[in-house]
Amino acid sequence: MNLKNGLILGLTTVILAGCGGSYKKNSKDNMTDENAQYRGPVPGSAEDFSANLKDRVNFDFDKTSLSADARELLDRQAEWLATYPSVDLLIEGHCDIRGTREYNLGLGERRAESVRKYLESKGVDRKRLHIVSYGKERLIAEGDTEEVHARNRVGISVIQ
Amino acid sequence: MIRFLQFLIVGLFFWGGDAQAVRVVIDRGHFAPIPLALTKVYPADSEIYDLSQKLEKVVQKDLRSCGQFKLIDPLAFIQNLESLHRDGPRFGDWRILHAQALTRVKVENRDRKNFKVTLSLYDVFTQKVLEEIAYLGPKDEWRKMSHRIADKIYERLTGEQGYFDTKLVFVEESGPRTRRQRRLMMVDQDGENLKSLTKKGRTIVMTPRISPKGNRLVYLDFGERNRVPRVRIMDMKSKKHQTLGKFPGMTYSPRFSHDGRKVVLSFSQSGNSSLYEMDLVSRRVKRLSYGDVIDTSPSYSPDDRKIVFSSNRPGNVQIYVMDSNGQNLKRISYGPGRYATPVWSPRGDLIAFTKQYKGQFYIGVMRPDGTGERLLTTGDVVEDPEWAPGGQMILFTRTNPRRRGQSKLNIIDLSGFNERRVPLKAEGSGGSWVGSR
Repeated sequence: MNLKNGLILGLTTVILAGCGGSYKKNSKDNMTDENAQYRGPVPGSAEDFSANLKDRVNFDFDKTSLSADARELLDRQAEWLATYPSVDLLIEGHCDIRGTREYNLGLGERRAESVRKYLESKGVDRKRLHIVSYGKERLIAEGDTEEVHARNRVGISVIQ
Repeated sequence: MIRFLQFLIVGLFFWGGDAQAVRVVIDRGHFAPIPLALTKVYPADSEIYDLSQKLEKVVQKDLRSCGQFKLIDPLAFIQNLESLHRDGPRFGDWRILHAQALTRVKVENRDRKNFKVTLSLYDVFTQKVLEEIAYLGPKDEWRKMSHRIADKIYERLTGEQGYFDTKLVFVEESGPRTRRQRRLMMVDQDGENLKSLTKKGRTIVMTPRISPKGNRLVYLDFGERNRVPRVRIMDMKSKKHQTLGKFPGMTYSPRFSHDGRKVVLSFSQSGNSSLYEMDLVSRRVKRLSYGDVIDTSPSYSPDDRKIVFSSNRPGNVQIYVMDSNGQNLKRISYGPGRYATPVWSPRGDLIAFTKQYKGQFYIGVMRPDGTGERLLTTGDVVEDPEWAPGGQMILFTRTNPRRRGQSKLNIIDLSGFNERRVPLKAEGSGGSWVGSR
């Protein structure tokens, strides 16, 4: 789903504080039974982010630079972050198994930093962008194929 | 099949310089195990019989596992144990078995708590006593005593420092690699006496390395929510630990200097990893390397005057040596492929490393000037080489990426022969040797 759709969905979604059972009676929202049944994500929430945006960019083997596709994807993340200025992001840097543990920690950090620098260049306040490197300590996928390696070489944006 | 594979792996050598491809050379010429007649442990009285049996088992396992000896089949022994201990060795009876050396071990009850073990080691050909030594100790330390006996035999016959009475620290791993549970553990080199140093959990802990005196441990800990990777230092007695220094970012790949006064580590800032040294007494921090690069895996030379580390400054990971103040940086690895995790041997003459070349990993050694590169073993993923205190064995991690990323600790000797698994029930990785005995 592209950003435009995401924003429309976000703006048209009525804020449902937790939905259903946890719905607060003193809520100022003018809620009816009809829209109480709508279980869409809360705009600006982690669910909203993951429902409407791609959360990860891929990297080439032993590389930390962002491809054109990756930059486009991050442009949308930057726009989303501009819409919800109170939300912080944790950027996780990951690597495939084809590197030694310690080097990959450095490499993952560099990948996360690469994403952070790009989002910063798109106007997101650096203070909102936190990074952590998992090197090859938290693999996304297991195995020894090219496809698995590619899935593990990512920078993942996680809403805080 | 496994034996056949080991044979292939074991003889794998790499010739450095401008060589274009890895040449596989099977060369078993320089390795000859010593024929040893290891006789049964003799209990001086029936009360000590059980202990004698336990001790015997450990000594036997040690000497067999190290691969340096050819143990002569006890069924072929001519002189019986009673006679050996009453009359001394009849050397002719042992020479005929082609035994080069002969052991005579006796255990005696001293009191309720203590026992005595006496080792006599003979050279069968010269008919001389090579070693005669007695240890007195508590019965509940029979295991340690057994390793000491094995160490003495090993040292006298190979000329190398024994390593049986040593411990390892490592990361115990369980669960799938995508949801690993980890904790730091300590264990005897033969897989016995397993003890936990940290609680088991989802927190990522890595690279435990012990101080030369064995009283402190440095390691990487990602914190409760796995978001703050920082080097921590633990007191081995109290098990209390704290973050090392006040770095505003990820610190990793810590290692003690040989005098135990300093820790060198990587600190990551703006995506660049540089080397820093922290004086543990003054707590002063000194930056050692600079650049828009990843400098990591530092290791001191035995005299603490140089540091070897890995850096991607040429575009991919290679090994560099510099003075421990950061001066005189020099690249030493020039073979094809990537070179990482250099560790300086305690003898000073070699640097162990991990090499990646054409999708394979290798554990190898080279001289500190980069010459004499030799590969000891290979695999889909083999990494984290760490030296035994005597510098004749290398501990490393072998990971099978297909079998749920299963990691095992292995030990290989410098000749590249005799690779063996540290017998542990759980998976283990990132182990290092406890230097002091």
